[in-house]
Amino acid sequence: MLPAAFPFALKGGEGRHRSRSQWFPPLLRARIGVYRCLLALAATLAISVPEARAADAGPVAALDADPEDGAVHDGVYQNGYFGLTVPLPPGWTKGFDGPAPSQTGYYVLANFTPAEALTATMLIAAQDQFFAAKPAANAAEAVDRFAATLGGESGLTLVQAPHEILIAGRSFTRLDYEGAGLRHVLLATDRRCHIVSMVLTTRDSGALEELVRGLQAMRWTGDGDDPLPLCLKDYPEAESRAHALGAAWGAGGASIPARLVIGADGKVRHVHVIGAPTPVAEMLSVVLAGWTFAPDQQGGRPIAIETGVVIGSRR
Amino acid sequence: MTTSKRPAFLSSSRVLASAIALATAFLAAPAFAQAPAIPRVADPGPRGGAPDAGGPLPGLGTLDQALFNSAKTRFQEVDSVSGGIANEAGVGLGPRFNLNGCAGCHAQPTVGGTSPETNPEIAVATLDGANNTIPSFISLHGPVREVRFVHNPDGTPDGGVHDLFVISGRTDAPGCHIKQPDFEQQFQAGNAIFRIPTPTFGLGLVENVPDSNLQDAVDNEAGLRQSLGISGHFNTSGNDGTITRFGWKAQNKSLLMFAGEAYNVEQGVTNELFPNEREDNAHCQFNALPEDATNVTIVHPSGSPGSDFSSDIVNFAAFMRLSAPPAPIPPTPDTTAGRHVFASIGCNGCHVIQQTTAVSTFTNVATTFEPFSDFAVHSMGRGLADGVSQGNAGGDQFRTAPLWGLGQRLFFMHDGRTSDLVAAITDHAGNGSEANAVIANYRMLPAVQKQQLLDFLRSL
Repeated sequence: MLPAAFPFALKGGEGRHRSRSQWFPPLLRARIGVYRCLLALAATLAISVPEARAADAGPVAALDADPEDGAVHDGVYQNGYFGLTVPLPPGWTKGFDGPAPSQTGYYVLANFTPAEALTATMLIAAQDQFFAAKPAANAAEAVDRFAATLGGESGLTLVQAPHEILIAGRSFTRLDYEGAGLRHVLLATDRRCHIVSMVLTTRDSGALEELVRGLQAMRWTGDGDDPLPLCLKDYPEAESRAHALGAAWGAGGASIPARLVIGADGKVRHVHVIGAPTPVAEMLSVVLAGWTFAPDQQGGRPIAIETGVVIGSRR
Repeated sequence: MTTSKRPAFLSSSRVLASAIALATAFLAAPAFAQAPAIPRVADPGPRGGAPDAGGPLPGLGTLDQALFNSAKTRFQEVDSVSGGIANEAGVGLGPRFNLNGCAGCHAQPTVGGTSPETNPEIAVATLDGANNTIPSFISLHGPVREVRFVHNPDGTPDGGVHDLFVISGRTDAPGCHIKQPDFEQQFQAGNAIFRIPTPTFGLGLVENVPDSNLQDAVDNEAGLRQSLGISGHFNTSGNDGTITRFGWKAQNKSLLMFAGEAYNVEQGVTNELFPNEREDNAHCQFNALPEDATNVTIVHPSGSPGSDFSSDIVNFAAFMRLSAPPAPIPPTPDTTAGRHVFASIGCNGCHVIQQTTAVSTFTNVATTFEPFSDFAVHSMGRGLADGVSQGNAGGDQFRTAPLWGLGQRLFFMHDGRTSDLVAAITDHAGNGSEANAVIANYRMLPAVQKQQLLDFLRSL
């Protein structure tokens, strides 16, 4: 049986114990064990062993990308998952890398700062609609919630209430606030199962508006001829299978989120396991990639969908 | 008739004197006055004076106060191998250990605190005839440290504590000849990571916060956190799925678990939670097991039957549970401004200011208190990563360190790497850290506001 002794499956307090070598096998043995268990799980769940994927029809690049895969090339931030390009302001550079995607589906996509002196920052982040503890219905609601917390002990003061603006032809909700002499503009929009946010910070309100104007150069692709998968937060069939997989595996206290892109043919096209150790993520990716569902339909046409499941249990 | 003339040099002198006078007047002009000094941002340093911690929770009844006092005495007990050495009446030290008593490490600013100024690990290494070598990363005025190895020799994850010292050579350990691990080799190989003691004041309040309140405190800051690149998650118990909250990675569920594990791991004293020796060399076993157990008779009554009948670890847990939180000093305009800065730049995204307990068995009230922590674990990046996973906390993830009592602490971060609060703040930022945006906000503050923040933190 798959060893339960992956780090996140350990009981509390065991960290001080001397060694886990007696029940945490070497990586190679773990991989062999993983694939043996894979076969066992497949038999248990009546899921066929995955074959090599057939060629996809549709926007393969966007389907195969993950939210955290963006990068800066020649002064432009590009993110294939969101179909987003954002030119960096003149004289700016990439800041520190953000953390790995969180178990609640929050991503720090990029940090930018002026190259010469730290006088301003730009943070681009995304929160998915699948794994957040209390997801907002949309970007506007998320911004309204944040605005409601400003003032009092928060240390932050509302400067301008949330309102809609158009940037590069796309609707954003804008919120202006300040604290300790720092001015902030939060811009949030809905995109492919996520709320994408951009937070601009500086002490100079003139420079702040210039940064906002500069964002008019951003571009979004993926709409129109190459539609993105339909976001489906609750997909009972997938959730049921994930729960059964967690139970069969013996995940202990672990709850592992995974994002799935299911093609119009009902086959899983892309799996993104979030926040799990690499051997576990690899194992789960193989299992989930073998799942097939009855194709979803919209207007009588089969469609691709994107959804999120949790393997194990949420407590 | 001839006319006398002044010698040429006198004329030159007058010119020189005039030039000097002119230059002096010129330099004294306001345009050339010295520029105002740039305010210096500096850690004011730990507060001196009496400790602002260490007493019992307010509102305890008479019996619970007696329990607290007796439990505190037990917390200060010094262990030897079999209890036969004067002033070392505790039983069960070793065979491997880091120190011989809880209060040795948990000492600053008083019993129950954290790492003191003089590292007791230096003295204990050779106490009672022991012949331990002190590793190079342990110093007299450095932090108390425990050591963990990141990997086993075969490359699999280790992560466990490897005690610094052995009882070999002690007068109460005849025939025991085990050796210390080769710490220098592990240290040079980058396989050794360190942890310093966490303070224990007020932890009963932390233990009594319902999971739902911890989650609510995080949810209330969701918008702020998402605007700052902060996510984090709770570590949870594999036993019952509830939120664990003690230790550098929030790996421990309860104070009893915390005490029992530490007693066996740090001092080598087996107990009713951890009843087996970690070192099983037959020549180094001197006591019946477990070495700490419930007392069925009372030999030396303390005035608290609850304490007297209970094992050491139950007493340790009671001491921590019934201790009052550290008290900040009264606010001043400077520290009040600093508190505002703290919230304005987003420190409270992780260092959540307030938590609320359930109704307490001991005080009969629910308490709202200020630990300055969400008790969740957060990714702190490659610069702070120690490579050790514990529960749901990965190798670069740490529990938000509670900031209460910071004003009287000497060493910061999980490994005690700095005593300078400014360095501790800036060390939060790096590749992979959730704190980058907040630290960037801090760096964009003018010096005056930075100093207000530091002064506020040292007031806690």
